[in-house]
Amino acid sequence: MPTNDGSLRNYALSHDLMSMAGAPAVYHCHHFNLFLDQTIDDALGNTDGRKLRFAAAREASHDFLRGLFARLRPTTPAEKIQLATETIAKMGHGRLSISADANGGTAVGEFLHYGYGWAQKYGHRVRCRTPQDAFAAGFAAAALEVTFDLPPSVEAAETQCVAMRAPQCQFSLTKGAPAPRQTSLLASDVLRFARPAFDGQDEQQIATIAKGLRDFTGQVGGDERGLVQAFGVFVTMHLACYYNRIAYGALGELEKRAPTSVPVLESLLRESGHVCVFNTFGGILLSPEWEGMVGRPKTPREVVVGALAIARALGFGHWTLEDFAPNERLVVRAPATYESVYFLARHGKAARPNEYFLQGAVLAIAQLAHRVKWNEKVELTQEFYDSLFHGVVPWKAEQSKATTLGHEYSEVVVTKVA
Amino acid sequence: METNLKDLVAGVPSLRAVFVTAMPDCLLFDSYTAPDETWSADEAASYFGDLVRANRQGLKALKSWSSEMQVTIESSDVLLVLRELRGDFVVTLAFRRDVPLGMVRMYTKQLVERLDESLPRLEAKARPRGVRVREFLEKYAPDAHAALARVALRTGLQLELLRRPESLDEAQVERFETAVKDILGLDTLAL
Amino acid sequence: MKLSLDHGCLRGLSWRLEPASDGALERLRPALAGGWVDRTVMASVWHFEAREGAHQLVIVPSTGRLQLRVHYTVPRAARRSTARELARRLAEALGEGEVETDSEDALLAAELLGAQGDVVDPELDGD
Repeated sequence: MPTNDGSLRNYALSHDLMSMAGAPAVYHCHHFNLFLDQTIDDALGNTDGRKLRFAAAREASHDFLRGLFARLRPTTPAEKIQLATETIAKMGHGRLSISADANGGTAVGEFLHYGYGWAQKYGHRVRCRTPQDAFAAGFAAAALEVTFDLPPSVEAAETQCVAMRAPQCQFSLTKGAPAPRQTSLLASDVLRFARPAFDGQDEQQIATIAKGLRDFTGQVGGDERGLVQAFGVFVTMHLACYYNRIAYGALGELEKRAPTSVPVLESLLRESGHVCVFNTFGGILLSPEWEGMVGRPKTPREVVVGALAIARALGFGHWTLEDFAPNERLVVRAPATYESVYFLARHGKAARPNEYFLQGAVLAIAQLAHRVKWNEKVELTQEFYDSLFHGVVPWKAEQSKATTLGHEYSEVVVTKVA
Repeated sequence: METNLKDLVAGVPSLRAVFVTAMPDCLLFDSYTAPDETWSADEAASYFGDLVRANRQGLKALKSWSSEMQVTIESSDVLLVLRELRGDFVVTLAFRRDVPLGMVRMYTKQLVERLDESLPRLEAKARPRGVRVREFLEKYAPDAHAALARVALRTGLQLELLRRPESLDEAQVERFETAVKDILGLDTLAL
Repeated sequence: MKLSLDHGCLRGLSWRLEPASDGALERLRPALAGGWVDRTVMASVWHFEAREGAHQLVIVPSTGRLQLRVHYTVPRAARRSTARELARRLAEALGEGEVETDSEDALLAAELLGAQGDVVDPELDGD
């Protein structure tokens, strides 16, 4: 990811929260990205789901691009658009070419993370009927708005998508009616809501591994197609506000439309945590890079320690090990997560524990630690995933504390089911 | 409905249990366990149905599938043989591990023939459409683990209701089917 | 040298290489000189990129693990043959002789394990 200019990627090291050009950022893989976008559309329907994802992308990208331009100071519109598209490519989102002015234009996407990732993951099994690149659409819209100093008013429609078997993704950018602009949420804004940091068990080891991983990811960026293939997945450095806006936005909307469906959406948001940990954390733990840096895990504790280090390096927050009794209990605490600081900054106090990614991820860490035979040949296949997470799961997770409820830390307790 | 399995398996002393799973719902139809066994028939039955289905698809992908497919699983103390029967049932025979494979094959052939004559014929068309829609979804949906939850969100139907699709009314089945078509990107479902 | 599918959820892209002879690792760097570019950034993990095709070879010198990464733009149907060809060239450069692979069926089955079950539309399978 772009760190040739060291000021672009930054970590608030005490809290392991990351930013890119001042905008809250995290790393996530294509499995998580596709699953979350799909969940939003399932909750709100394809049309409203896409609208929310586009709006979230435009909003998050606006803050990001303003910070990027302030730091690197492109002068002409052409320079600004080029900088925007080159940076997003280095972040692993694919190649986007924008031909537009203040009144609109077109954009072409090749190897866009979402559309291409969808084709790679699902394309041989099911037919895609809706375009997948709402994030790129929102980004393109924001690029025009920030370049030409426009209000939130550019609409971007994806008219062709590689997920739908088109040769490339195409967008039409048009000027629409101005919409109210949401208050910016920069890293400096959300960090104010982080509680004081603390350490847990095996702190030195977790911190050392996390540093090594951060150093490694700092050297990794989008290839000539703007994709980052690492650890067996496509990785993006992504805008945390995008994820949070769509997740909490969908929840808020569903609470109004169909409150009885909210628990199902919550369960799928937790599931996204399972998907990420299984595929990305699992992929990292099985990678030659991990083998060289840390060594293949041999015990459940080593898996847990490794996973917490991975979470920190990916910018999820300062996840600490509070308690671990193999085959009995795992307790993870954090003074802040990328979910909690956003929610507090945007919405204030929550009504219930609502760091769904954290909840799902910690359960998945317990599963990886105990139900994967790391000393044998491991295949993290869909079938294996189903066997771990579908049907009888011998672990249960509860978020017992949440900074969004005013507690001093967020805590997820995972216990073995009798 | 019982098939008098105890009588059917008489004369096969090495047999520890028989499970008959009704497909495609993977529900236990009937079972027999030897007097000193403590297995839970219901739990095992659903897994055996899934196992045969998974193996069937794997062999189809390798262009090696036939209706005579048999799955054999050997562990330290049991030898399981699973056979599809007419597409209506999966029969699982659990033998003691020390029985020679040749004898197992012979007993299996005999028992399957007896069961074929004794088990009723379940008409596929009589199965409720909601059940067939669910089976189609579980067979083809990517992220199968989340498929029903996705449908629940798209339709507003309760997850518990979707887990018992035979109890859906016509309007609910239509919503179910529309959601499945959306998820799979299809205009119609070949049920 | 043995070639087998390695873990990776992007189907058919990651392959494990196991040289048959001792000392293969020491001979590796010189053997790669012609067709591969050294992209190593960490001393504990060596990264090489093929001059043609941008495939990658990742080596963990402390454990001897070798992972071959076929470039993601290679169509799915061609990934196995691409991996075999790359492995064959490496084996030749190392003086390793033939490349052993799992049988066709086992390799295909292993690849299918990474896929997600049935295909609803036969036209969709394959690139």
